[in-house]
Amino acid sequence: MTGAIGIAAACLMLAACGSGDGDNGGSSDGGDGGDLPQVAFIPKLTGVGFFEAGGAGAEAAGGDFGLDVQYRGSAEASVAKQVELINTYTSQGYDALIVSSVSPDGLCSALKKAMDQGVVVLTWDSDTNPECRQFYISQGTPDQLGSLLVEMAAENVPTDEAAEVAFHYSSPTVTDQNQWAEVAKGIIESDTEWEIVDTVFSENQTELAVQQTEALVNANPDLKAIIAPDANALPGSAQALENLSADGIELVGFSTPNVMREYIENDVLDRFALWDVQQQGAMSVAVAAHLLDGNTLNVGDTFEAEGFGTLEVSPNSVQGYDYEADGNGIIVMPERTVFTADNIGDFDF
Amino acid sequence: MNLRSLLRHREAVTVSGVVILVLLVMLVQPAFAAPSNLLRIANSTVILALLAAGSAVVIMTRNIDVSVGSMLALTGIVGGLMLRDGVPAVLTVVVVLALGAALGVVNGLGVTYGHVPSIVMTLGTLGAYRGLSFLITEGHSIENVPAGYKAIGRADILGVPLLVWLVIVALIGIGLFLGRTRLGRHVYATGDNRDGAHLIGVRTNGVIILAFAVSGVCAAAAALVFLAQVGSISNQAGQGIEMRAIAAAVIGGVALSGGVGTVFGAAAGAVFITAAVSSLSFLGIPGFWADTVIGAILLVALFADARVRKALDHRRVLDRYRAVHEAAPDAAENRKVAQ
Repeated sequence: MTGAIGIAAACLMLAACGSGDGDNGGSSDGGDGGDLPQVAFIPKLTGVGFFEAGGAGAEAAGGDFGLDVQYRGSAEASVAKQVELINTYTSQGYDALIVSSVSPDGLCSALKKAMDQGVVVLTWDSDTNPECRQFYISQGTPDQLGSLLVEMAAENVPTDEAAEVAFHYSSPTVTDQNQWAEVAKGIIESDTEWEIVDTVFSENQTELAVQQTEALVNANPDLKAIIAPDANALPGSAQALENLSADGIELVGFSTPNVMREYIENDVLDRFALWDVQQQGAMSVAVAAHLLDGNTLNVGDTFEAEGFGTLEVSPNSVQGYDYEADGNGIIVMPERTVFTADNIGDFDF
Repeated sequence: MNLRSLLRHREAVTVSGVVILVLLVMLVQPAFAAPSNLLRIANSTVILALLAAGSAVVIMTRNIDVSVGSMLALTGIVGGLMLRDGVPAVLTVVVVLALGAALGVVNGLGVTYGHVPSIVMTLGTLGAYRGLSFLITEGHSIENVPAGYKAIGRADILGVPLLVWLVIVALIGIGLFLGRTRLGRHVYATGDNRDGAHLIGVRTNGVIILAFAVSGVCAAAAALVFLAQVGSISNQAGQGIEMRAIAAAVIGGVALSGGVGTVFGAAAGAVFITAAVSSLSFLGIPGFWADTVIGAILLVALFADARVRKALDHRRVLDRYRAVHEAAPDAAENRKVAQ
């Protein structure tokens, strides 16, 4: 019987792999690309508004920069799927890969192979180890985003009073969310009287996010704040607070305005944040275009990207890495947005 | 309690397991056993319990359905779109359940008349149904399920969530069908010995198609619960949940070799899994242990199942041995008399 389960599990993985090709975001790869350089823009997973919006921004920017940009992902956030996509596009002769990585080192050998073949390799949203890509188009450094989380929570929970707080995000292996949470936890420990009581994960599953938050709230009756820097964990937490009619708990985090609009309107939470992910997608394409034109970039260099003004290459150390090399670094988006009832109507993504 | 009745009432063992788990966690965190928390666990179990019950019916016919997560997503997305576009809730419920049945029938037809092994057939539809939901939504999730429908998720009767009541009623319905009707007994007969059942006149193909249809309807019902409790549905909804549903059925005493088990056992297995994962928060164990805990529970259940079965077989052999030896002296005496 154990064997049957094992076989079933193995087959499930195979099936998941097999279905990958049909799952991409629906971009056309008909003859319209012509001789334009081909760029694959790869999300962690498809079907989440955040990544779809990034993909839409990237594909639209492709037209502006003369590139054939294709939003290509899998429905499942896994290293195996991303490696498969990267290998496929490398062998098909794509000119650039722009990846939101599900793992810091899981994609490394595939990405290094791509770079060896002259493919421009960039990361966006979630980085790999810096030696496995050229540039990371960052939504903000962990310091910026981690402290933004604490600042948002501190709007309603005084930092000089004892309060129980908990973290809720997608999984313990996700690079970016882990980094923000670590920074936020560091600030909470050094600068506030708060106590971190738990960290729960919901694996990109909204129903799990609801259940986990309900359990969290029940297990910690004195909980004052939940920090949910994940596009599924935040709406799931909001729905759980609505289900429980829990008024005394502040919820902050990162998600997209369209998903969170009803919870802001119902007063379940006061504020959450994100960056303009469409712009992040477009900016990644701008950087790819600049490199595909034959330009080189090094730490400290600035360049003009149409529509984005002057962009500057920061050292990897802003993201907490030790690794520095020529033609390698981080390009940080200029700004992030805090959404409240006052401004959420201005956004649609 | 002897082994045979233990095996016959595996769901009783699972229910005891839930009680023991709650008592153990209560020793550390009394709040875990508070009525409000137990109700919350029941409420959180509803989706998994429905999927586990559907999976159990298929497993009883000695097949397996790994497409339940994708059926949940596809039916839920269709239901979410209908509700969002103002279709009355009652009509939506009917259409969603009918769609679930149709998806299940496709699985059943492939397994019976298509002669495709159920694991392969449902792996195919696992991908295909999820792919369809992508085509429908173009990758976006369905937001803004009307507040009126979401209110169902919060309604309660006598302090117990309405959805928990509804699922209990549905499970009793399926349980009575399986245990008390001729067709229901045919489900067990088909799983126990398909050829034998066929020989005595059971229409085994029809029974298997019916079992897959029940699984589809259960997945659709789980989708309706999902919409009420979560209020939005994405293409990722239910991904990977088929394994938890099958695990719940096995923990609840449904044998993967077919012919044995009850939907109550499967639902109890679902309660056990949900309670175990939720106890992590109360015990202060980091969240990344959740998968490990489920895996460990499943292995223990499989191990216990195998041990009980083996002990039972052993006893059967012993009984036969004893019977032969006790009969032997008489036979010898008879021979003497004859001489």
